[in-house]
Amino acid sequence: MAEDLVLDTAIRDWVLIPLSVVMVLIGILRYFVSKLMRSSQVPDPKIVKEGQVIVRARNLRAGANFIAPKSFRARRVYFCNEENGLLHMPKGQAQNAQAQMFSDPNMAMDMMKKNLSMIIPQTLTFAWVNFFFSGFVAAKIPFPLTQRFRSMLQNGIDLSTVDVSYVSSRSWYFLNLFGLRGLFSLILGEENATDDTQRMMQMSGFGFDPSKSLGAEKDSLDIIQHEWALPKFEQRAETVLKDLVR
Amino acid sequence: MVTKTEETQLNRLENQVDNGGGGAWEYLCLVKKLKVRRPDKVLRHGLSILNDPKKRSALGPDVWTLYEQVSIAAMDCQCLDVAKDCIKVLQKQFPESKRVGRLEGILLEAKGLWAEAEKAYSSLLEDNPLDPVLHKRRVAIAKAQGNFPTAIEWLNKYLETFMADHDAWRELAEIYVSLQMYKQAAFCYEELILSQPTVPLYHLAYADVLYTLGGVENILLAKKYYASAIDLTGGKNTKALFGICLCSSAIAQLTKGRNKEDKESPELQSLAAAALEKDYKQRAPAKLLLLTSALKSLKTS
Amino acid sequence: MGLGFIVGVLGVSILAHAAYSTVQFRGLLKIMEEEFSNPPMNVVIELLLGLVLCMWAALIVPGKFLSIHPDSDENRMVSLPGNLDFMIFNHRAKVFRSEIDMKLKL
Repeated sequence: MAEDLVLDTAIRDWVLIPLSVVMVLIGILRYFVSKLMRSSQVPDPKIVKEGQVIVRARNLRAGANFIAPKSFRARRVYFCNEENGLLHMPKGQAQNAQAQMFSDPNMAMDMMKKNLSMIIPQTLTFAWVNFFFSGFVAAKIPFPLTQRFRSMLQNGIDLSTVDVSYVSSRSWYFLNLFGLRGLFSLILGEENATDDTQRMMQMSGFGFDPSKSLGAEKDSLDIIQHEWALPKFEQRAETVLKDLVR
Repeated sequence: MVTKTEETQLNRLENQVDNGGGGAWEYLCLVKKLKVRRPDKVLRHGLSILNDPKKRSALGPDVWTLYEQVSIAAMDCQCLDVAKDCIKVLQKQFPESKRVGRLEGILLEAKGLWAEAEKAYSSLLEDNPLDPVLHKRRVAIAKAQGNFPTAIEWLNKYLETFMADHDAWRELAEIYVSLQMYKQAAFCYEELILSQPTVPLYHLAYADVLYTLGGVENILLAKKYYASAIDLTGGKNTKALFGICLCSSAIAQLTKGRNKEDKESPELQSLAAAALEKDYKQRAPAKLLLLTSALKSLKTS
Repeated sequence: MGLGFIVGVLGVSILAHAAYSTVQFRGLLKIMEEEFSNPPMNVVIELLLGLVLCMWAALIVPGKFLSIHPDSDENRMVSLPGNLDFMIFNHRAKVFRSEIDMKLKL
């Protein structure tokens, strides 16, 4: 039964430890390679300006109650009018990011580089692990787990009788792949950690569209009610001074 | 932003450092963090650190920012030799650095070679057309030459792109005030209040501008902003208290002829006057007489 | 730090003890073949005590509370920073040379 599964020490010496070391080294190598390939991109003035417009509109929305109604209305018109308001985007001009990416070869190149530095080493190491270490039971974790963890910990072993706390070599590879982030942030510094999960998130969210956020900001600016806070402040100042004088 | 606690800490450290009590590095860090302008002290204590090899090596990589800080302070004191030496050291360490290039441009400015400085900045801007600091330096050049219209023009152009930069708005407001263009200044201060609504100093400055503009409507508005400044400072800002008194008396004077019944409660003014008197009694008893006579003249007029 | 930390440790150990005695109590009930409805009174009291101690320690140990009032000393702005990005150098320093004549030793 599973209880008397004894792992050879040679497995530890020739599978477990080499696999972990290789994963760490590959992570570091990938960091340096991506650093080499990173090109300093010049920000587009239009994008910078759009970001600043959004910040300013957000400020206006947050602090609207602190300025007089007249000033607020003037600003709202300045931001939101349909002819040349800062937040107003003509329909035709709002090109989507996808098209922009194809029109700008640099951007596509950057994406490619990022992708390459991530995917190539991953496929290579996965193939390597599969070739040399498939089918090993490489380690045993010191606490029992439920059956649900079988697919996570025993990838590559199709035996349902083995206790779940044994880890197959392929699963050990995956655990290393996703679990070494903390170690990388220790070795390479806080923000340099090659964070695969985060990078994947960025990938999926790449189609970020500035015109969309401009439109959202415009809508929320359009609907806010202006309640001037200053008359209230006069009463509050009175109470403050009363406390002070007393 | 310099808060009260930070100010007291700065003053304490300054005292301690001036009397040879050590802590020079902490003082310099605080000066940099609070962005206050103390060029003579930064120069003296910064140089004493930089000239001591043991202290200098203890700083590690922070020593380079200290060189930068000291060089700017030296330019501010017109000790151009020191500034030049500092920049030379930095240049040796970081050739091709844009930050050092900027420092060189500032050195040209300090020497008064405006055209050369301008040229240096524009060549730097070619590499990085969106460097906000370089744009700001061009404004400063125009300002230093006394060429305010050009400075305003540059600033407006800069703010068109970087419209969330409240430092630039503040600079624009101050230039407008110095040119007595109060309406434009009021707009800038509104922008500042929007971006940082809890800073009482902007409320105060805005109220000052409104009061200076004059007219019942503006003065009523100014009074409101003085009141908000009082609320935000807990009544510890003397200028806001004076502002309330002045606004109230001005309003009374302007609406005297008209038969409009006064909606403003006069209570705020008397409270502000009482608070002022109490404050003066505590901190400057010798000036109390002056204050009471001034307040009385405000009331009777 | 010292006192609060000790209190926190005490609270945690009391909680642990409460958990342990509940486990024991359940074991006892199993032997006596009775249903478990709720833990004994002294364990409940122990639990509450541990909770209070832990909460107190958690409020004391990590740090001080900061004021959120705009008029408190920590939050009250007394001066604006020098607008250093726009600093200009042709001011009185040109006329009044400072008396510092230190040099940077290279």
